[in-house]
Amino acid sequence: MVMGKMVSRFFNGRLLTAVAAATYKEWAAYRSHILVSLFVGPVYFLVQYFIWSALFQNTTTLKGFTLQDMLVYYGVTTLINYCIMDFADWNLQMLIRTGRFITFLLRPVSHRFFALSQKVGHRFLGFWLEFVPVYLIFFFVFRLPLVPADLFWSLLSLVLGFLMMFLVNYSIGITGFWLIRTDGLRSFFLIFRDVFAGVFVPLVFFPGWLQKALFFLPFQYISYVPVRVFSGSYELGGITLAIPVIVAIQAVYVVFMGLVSEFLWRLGIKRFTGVGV
Amino acid sequence: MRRLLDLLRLYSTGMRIGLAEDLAYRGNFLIRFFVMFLSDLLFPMVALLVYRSGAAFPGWTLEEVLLIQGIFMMAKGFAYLFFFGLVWNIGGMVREGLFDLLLIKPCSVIHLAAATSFSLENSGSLLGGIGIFIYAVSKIPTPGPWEWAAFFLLFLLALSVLFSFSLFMSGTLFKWVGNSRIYEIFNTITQFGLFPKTIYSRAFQNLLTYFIPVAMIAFFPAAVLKGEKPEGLFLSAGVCLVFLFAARLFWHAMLKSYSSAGG
Repeated sequence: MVMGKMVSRFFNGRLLTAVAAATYKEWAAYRSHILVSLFVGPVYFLVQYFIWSALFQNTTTLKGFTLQDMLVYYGVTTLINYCIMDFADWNLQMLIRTGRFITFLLRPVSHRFFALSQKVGHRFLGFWLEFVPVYLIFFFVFRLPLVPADLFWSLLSLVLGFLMMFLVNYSIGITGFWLIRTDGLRSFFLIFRDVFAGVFVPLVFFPGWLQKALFFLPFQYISYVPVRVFSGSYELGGITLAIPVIVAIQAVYVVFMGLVSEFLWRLGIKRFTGVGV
Repeated sequence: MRRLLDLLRLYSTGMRIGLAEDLAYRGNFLIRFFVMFLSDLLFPMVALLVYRSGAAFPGWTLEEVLLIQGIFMMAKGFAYLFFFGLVWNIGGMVREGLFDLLLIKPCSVIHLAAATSFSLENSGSLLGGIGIFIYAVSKIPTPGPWEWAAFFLLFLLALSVLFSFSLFMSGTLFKWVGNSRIYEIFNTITQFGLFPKTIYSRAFQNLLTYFIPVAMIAFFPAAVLKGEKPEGLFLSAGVCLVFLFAARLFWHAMLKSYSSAGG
């Protein structure tokens, strides 16, 4: 009974499908905004293609990557970001700042689960409008062999990356309980998140001491780990791990981040005054 | 002359208001300033990491690549500080149906939108760019007075290219209401300007020189500072002026489709 209550507090299938469907329909009205990715993604990749083709002119491998590996890395990073993209931080701080958050306190649902359900709906739409077309462009136009080394582990790591991205962003959004304007802090965290998640350059290019530190931070589990699992090998800071092991560690970090967000939530909610309503 | 004085007054008033707004949330302002500074250092950081790993763009030293990126950051920082805000200002007002308020004012809508969007936090980009530029210039052979004169002339053209982009983007927002992703399109197109033009294929080099003059934002100014006279320089300078003219035409044509309905 108690266990059932605990589970229903953190997971509610009917709520998930209802909120996800509503969000899907809401954002489907702004399809053209999402379709911008069909231009941005391939052009960004094209720039990477030229950069790395030039850099590999006098060498065959860089930090263990061949040119093909590098292009696959950027291709998969782009695609994974379509699946895990998130703005829970912006949404939550906006609700707190405007006072509209009070409507969620009156509802018998967890706001975090509500926000996660919104993300599911939004990314479902992104899957059809961003992921699939850009995947086809990468596959047929750029001839990138975007086939996962192991479909099961790749999907599992992607789902964990999806949750990790949400939990990190949601925790950043919770800072809205303490600060009136969180734009600055959010932007600051988002830059760190993307740099240390390996979005701009594979983490193995960072100095050794930083790679070791990054192994213990949550950021690599958002994007770098899913990309490496997709490629079928994992290495960071001289640590080489089998795919099931790194995915298991990723799962542990997701649980840990869930606890962090719960802790921050409990601290923050006490400060909510509803000013702005 | 009077028109110029009016414009100066407009911009100084806009800057005063912008500064007062920034200082109302000082903590946020300082962090945003720092973030702008930091975010534009990403590409130099990537260049540094890649060069440290032993790779290099053929024919380009790290300092020369940083010179291009520093100039790019300075141009973008200057644009963000003084006129690029007109894009989000116009975009936001069109979305909320408030753009009419600008239309009834007795001055240029473009300048009014640019002046009232001034925010000092955007100077983080400019400062970062200046820092990288000074470092890179100190590492290349000292440019002579002619190189500096040519550089300043081309830097003005670089600003004209960015101003043209801001007109194209804000003009698009009259029809494509509320699309915040327009900046992503801009960032993606101009990203080509962060690296030496010579790494691209011939077709792309021509595209970036003679059609969408992205190479003028940083590559050409950096090349003249190094004492080179790169191919296509003079034609590209002319293309920048045509680009600016086309942007103004486009903006006024799109203004006619403004429906005042919001979005």
